[in-house]
Amino acid sequence: MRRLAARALPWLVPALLVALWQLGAAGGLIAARLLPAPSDVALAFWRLALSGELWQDMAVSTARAFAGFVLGGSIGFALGVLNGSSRAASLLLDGTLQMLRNIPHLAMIPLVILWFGIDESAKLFLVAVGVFFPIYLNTYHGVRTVDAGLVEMAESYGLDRWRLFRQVVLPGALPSILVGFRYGLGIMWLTLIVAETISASSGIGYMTMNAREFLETDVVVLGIVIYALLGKAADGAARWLERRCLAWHPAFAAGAAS
Amino acid sequence: MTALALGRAAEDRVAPPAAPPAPPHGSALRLAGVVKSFGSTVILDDIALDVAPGEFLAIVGRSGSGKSTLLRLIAGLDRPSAGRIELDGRRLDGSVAATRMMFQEARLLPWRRIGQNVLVGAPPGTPQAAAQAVLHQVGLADRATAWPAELSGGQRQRVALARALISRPRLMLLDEPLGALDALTRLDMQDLIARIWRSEGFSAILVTHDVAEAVRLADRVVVLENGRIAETWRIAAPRPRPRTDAAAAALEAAILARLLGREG
Repeated sequence: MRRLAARALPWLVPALLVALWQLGAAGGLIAARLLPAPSDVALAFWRLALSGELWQDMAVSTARAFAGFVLGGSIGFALGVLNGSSRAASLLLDGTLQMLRNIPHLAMIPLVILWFGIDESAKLFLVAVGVFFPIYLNTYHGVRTVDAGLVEMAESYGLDRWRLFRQVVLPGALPSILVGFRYGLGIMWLTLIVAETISASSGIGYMTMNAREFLETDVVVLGIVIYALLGKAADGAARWLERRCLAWHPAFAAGAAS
Repeated sequence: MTALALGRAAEDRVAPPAAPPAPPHGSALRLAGVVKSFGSTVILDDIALDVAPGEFLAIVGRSGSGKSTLLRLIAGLDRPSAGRIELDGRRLDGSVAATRMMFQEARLLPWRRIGQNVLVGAPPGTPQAAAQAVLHQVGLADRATAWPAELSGGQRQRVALARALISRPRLMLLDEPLGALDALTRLDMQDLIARIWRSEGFSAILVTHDVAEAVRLADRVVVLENGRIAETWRIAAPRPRPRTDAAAAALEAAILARLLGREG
């Protein structure tokens, strides 16, 4: 009973807000033109789900998001490992990367449109750049702060470079890498929303911008809700991964609150 | 009373220890003219030292006397600035599979279960049963699936010992492995190390600041002072040695007096 209450408690405030929203809309306190009732949003969902439009847009957005994530994330990971383990590489590259990091990647949108036009590669590029930095920084930090005593032990036990990386450096850096991963997922959605809102001919962002043209406020709100749910799902997946990969870590051990 | 031979050896060439039960498969170690300096700071100065196969040598000294540096050179983790280190007649070059080291901290990989941690010490592909066997030897046969974080400090050092043992080393280097343990656990670990040393027959070098521990475990105690070997004691007491012993206490007092510089 107590456990059930503990699980239900975080949902109490959102549920109350939705209820108030519904009541306010039904009572005429909130103009439907500005903010449609939750029931209208649900109806819009139903309509678009039945027509298949919604699934198609969601699939397009998700594919874009993950393609950009894989591209930017893998480059960030590779450079993080390289600079974290080689002092020469770090001296050569890290300064430049830290400089680029301070450019808000969304500020590059005008330039990106000039370079790529408004096709897929523009969105892919923006998401990849956005995801790159949190993953790079956290991988770099994680690799550099791996316990030197463990590395020395591994060397005295004759582990070759690959086993050293696989058994000592990578798992040691993993908590930090996963922080970057989670952070990167957040930036991935954020970047995609902005990019799709500015220029797209498909995807959730296109769906909402299109709806705005026709004053379909319910679809606009639906788009926002879907972004929230997709973000939440990605975060949940990242947390699941943390619990799975870091089972050895007292802070992430099964049952521990994270 | 134990017949404890109390004597200062003038030179450090020493006969093998009094008949260990296992055939000694320990390494012979020879250091000649070994110097280690960092910049203009000389840490070790002209060290000459021989360790016979199967011998248990203890190195005591104050902090900063260079004792850990000496052990790192023998482990191949560092290179001497001058001089030779020979292991079984061959010049040492980097770390050797036949030499294993225990550190002050257990240095277990927190992300591997105990059994997998032990296998770090073995060549890839070694079966888990081999890890189980050495865990049994150190009294932790039932903890193979635990995480390192679930063990006490003493148990973690036992795992580190098992990890060192799994490849059947010929030279065991012990860098204050019991320094961080509480007094009772430390006595247990001393017994365990003595027992395993006797049954395995490896050569052992223990670096410690605990003179009682050195006297209890070693065949020979070397005092290191300002990077030089200041004095050598041989301990011929029979084994297994009792935990308290008047002759051992007297020897301990003599070594302590030497370390503290209140000689005579």
